[in-house]
Amino acid sequence: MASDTHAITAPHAGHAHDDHDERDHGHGALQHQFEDMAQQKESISLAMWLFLATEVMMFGGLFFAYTLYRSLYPAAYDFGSRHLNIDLGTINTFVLLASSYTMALAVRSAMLRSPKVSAFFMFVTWVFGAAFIGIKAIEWGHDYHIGLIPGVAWFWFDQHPDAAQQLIAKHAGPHQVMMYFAIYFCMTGLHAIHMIIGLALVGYFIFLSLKGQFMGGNHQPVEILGLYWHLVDIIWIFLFPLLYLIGGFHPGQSHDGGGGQGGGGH
Amino acid sequence: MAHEHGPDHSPGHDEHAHDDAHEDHVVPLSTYFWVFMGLMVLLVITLVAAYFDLGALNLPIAMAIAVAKMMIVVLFFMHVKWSSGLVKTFAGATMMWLVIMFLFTLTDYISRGWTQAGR
Repeated sequence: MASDTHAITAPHAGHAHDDHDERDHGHGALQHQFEDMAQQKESISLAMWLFLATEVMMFGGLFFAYTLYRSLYPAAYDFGSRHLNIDLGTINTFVLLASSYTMALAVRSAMLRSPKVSAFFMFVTWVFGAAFIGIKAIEWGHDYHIGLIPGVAWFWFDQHPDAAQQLIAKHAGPHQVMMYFAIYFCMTGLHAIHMIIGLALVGYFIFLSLKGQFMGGNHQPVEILGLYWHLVDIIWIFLFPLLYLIGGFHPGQSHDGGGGQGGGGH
Repeated sequence: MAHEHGPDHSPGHDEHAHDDAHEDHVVPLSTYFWVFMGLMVLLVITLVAAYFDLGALNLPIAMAIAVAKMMIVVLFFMHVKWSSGLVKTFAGATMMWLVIMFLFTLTDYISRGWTQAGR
C-alpha cells in the first residue's frame, strides 16, 4: 500500500485479537503482516484472482487443443457436436447462470450480515449445482449407451458404417470424431470436477454460515467462494456454444442421433 | 430481507481513501436481478444465433455473445466493477496471459510448412 515508511511501526497490542467484534471496523481479525483491514482484504482478493488466473490457464490449454483440432477437422467437430443433446445443454446453461445469480445473492446477504439468508441462497446454489451434475450424468450415460466415449464405449461407428464413409468423404473420419469426443470429455469432465469441488465447498460454507462463522463482518470467505463459483460458471459459458452449437440449433430435431440412428450427414 | 443496502457511493470512487475501501459495496437487489435477466436474454440470443446458419460468422458471433456473458458475470457478480484498480489489473492480466498463449502457440502451428525448413 501507500505508506511503506510505517511498515516497521509496531501494531497496537491486542489489536490482532479483536476477533468478531460487531462494529464496522471488525472485518474479521487483522493478521500481523498487514497494516490495516483494507490491505488485508485486498491481499486476500488478489490471491484468489491469482488462483483464478491459473485456473483460466489450465482450462486455456484445453481450449487451445479444442481450437487446433477444430481448425484441422471441422467436419469431425460438426459431426460430434450434432450428437450432443442441445436441450440438456441449454437447461444446464440456464441452471448454472441461475446458480451464479443465487451465489451473488448469498454473498450480498453475507455482506449485510444475514448469515441465515446467506445460507439459504447458498443452499439454492447447491441445488442448482447438483442439478447440473445430475443432467451431465444423464448426458454421459446416453453417450455410454450409444457408444461415443473414446476408450470406454466406442462402438457407434461399428453400427453406422455409412456415417463413417460420409465422414471420410469430408476429410474426416471416426478417429477425428474420437478426438472431438476426447476433448469433449476432458473439458466437461474437468469442469464437472470443479463443480463437485464447488458443491463440497458450498455445502461446507452453508454449515459454517449457520454456525455463525461469517458474523461480525468476517464475510470475505463467502466472497472468495463466490469468485470460484462464478469462474466455473464462466468456463461453462464458453463450453456450451463451442461444444454443443457447432452444427447449429434446430428446434424439434433430435440432436442425439435419435438414440443411435441417423444424424450421419447434414 | 433484513435491511436494504447501506453505502451506495458511486462506482469508481471506492479507491480514494482507506476508509472507503473498508466498506463493502453492497449492490442493490434490483441490479442483480437485471444482470440475471440480461444473462437470460443473452442465452436466448445464443440459441437464436445458432438457429441461423451465418457461415463463417457463426463462430465469431457465438464467441462475442459468450464474451458479453463473461463480462457481465465478471463485472457484476464478481464485483470487479466496484473493485480496486489492482484487482481490475489482475482480472485483465488473466485474459492477457490467455491471449498470449493462444497467439504464440497458434502462430507456431499456422506458420508450419511456410518455409522449406519447416517441411
